[in-house]
Amino acid sequence: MSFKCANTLQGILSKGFLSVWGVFMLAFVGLLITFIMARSPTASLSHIYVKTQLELYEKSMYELHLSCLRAFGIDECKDLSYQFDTYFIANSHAFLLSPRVILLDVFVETQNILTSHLQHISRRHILVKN
Amino acid sequence: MMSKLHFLSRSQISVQKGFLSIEFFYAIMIFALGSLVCLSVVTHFMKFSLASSPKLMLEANTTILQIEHYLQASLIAEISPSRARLEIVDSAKLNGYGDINKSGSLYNQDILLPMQHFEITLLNGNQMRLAQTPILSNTLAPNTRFGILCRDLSAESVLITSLDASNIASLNKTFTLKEDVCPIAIPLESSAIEITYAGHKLFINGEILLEGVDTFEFLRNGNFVEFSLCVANNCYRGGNYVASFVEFL
Repeated sequence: MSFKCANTLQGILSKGFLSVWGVFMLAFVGLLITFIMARSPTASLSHIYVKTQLELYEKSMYELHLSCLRAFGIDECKDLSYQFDTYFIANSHAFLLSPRVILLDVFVETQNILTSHLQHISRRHILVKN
Repeated sequence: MMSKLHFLSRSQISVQKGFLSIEFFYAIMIFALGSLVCLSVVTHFMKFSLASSPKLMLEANTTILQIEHYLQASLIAEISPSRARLEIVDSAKLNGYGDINKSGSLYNQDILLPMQHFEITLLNGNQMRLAQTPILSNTLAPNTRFGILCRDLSAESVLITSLDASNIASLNKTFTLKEDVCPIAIPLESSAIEITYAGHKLFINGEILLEGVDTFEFLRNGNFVEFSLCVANNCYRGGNYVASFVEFL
């Protein structure tokens, strides 16, 4: 029975044909899963999770730049960038507003893996030299 | 089995190739239709299959984000277990957009400049003057509020009552400290934000933020303010740093 079935299948489809169907199958299943992920109710929760994570990395980057400024001064640490957790890209920039006041801008961005949205956070801090 | 293929004539092969393109087309249509149907069915059922109500969960989470945002943007925070009074920093004046009336004041070396200077050059009793630079404007004006920050990172909010011709502002409070101890003035929003919890409801400035809250509590731990809330047997925790705008090097 199974032999007869395989025989007729071979008659209809050549080997190349089967692989085309296979590729389509994979592509559509992949698309389906990404769509389900992006539209599921958990997607909005992932946004909140990423937001919290961004806040924490912003704090880390701020402290990193602060310790750099304390150790080497503004000439050495104008721009810093760091990649947290491979997906979170953090940049910070120090700007001398006046001889005593430094503006420190921190920017962190990431792409939400679940929904592929870009999420970012930017903060400005004021530093005062003694 | 394989030998059968040798008997296919040229016309039969070309027919097979024609079928290939038709089948190609059908494959796309069938899978597209199938995936659309599956998508709608799965998302429909996912809403019901989650253990707790996603809508409630989302509302609680949005509330947490909102409170965290206000905590982060605050310069002065008075925290008690069921109430928080936050003085919010005027982000437009802090982050910039410069002053449209002054040429070249928006950017300097690729950086968006703040609207005003933060350094106090004179603080004597109830008089205050801010540093002036040609590119930054002077936003000292009657009825604007500022947070004056001292070296021990304690801040106090003041209201400018009047302004004289030499840009010296009169404040509604009298300071015994001088400008070398309290060197920074940060612009504040015109009114403070109050988050209160009363009668199973959370309020922001008297307006309802979230209903059906079973428990809610603020907890201050130095510079970090933590809060916990329980909605429909689900408990959440959040928190953020307050007054983290200024640091002394």
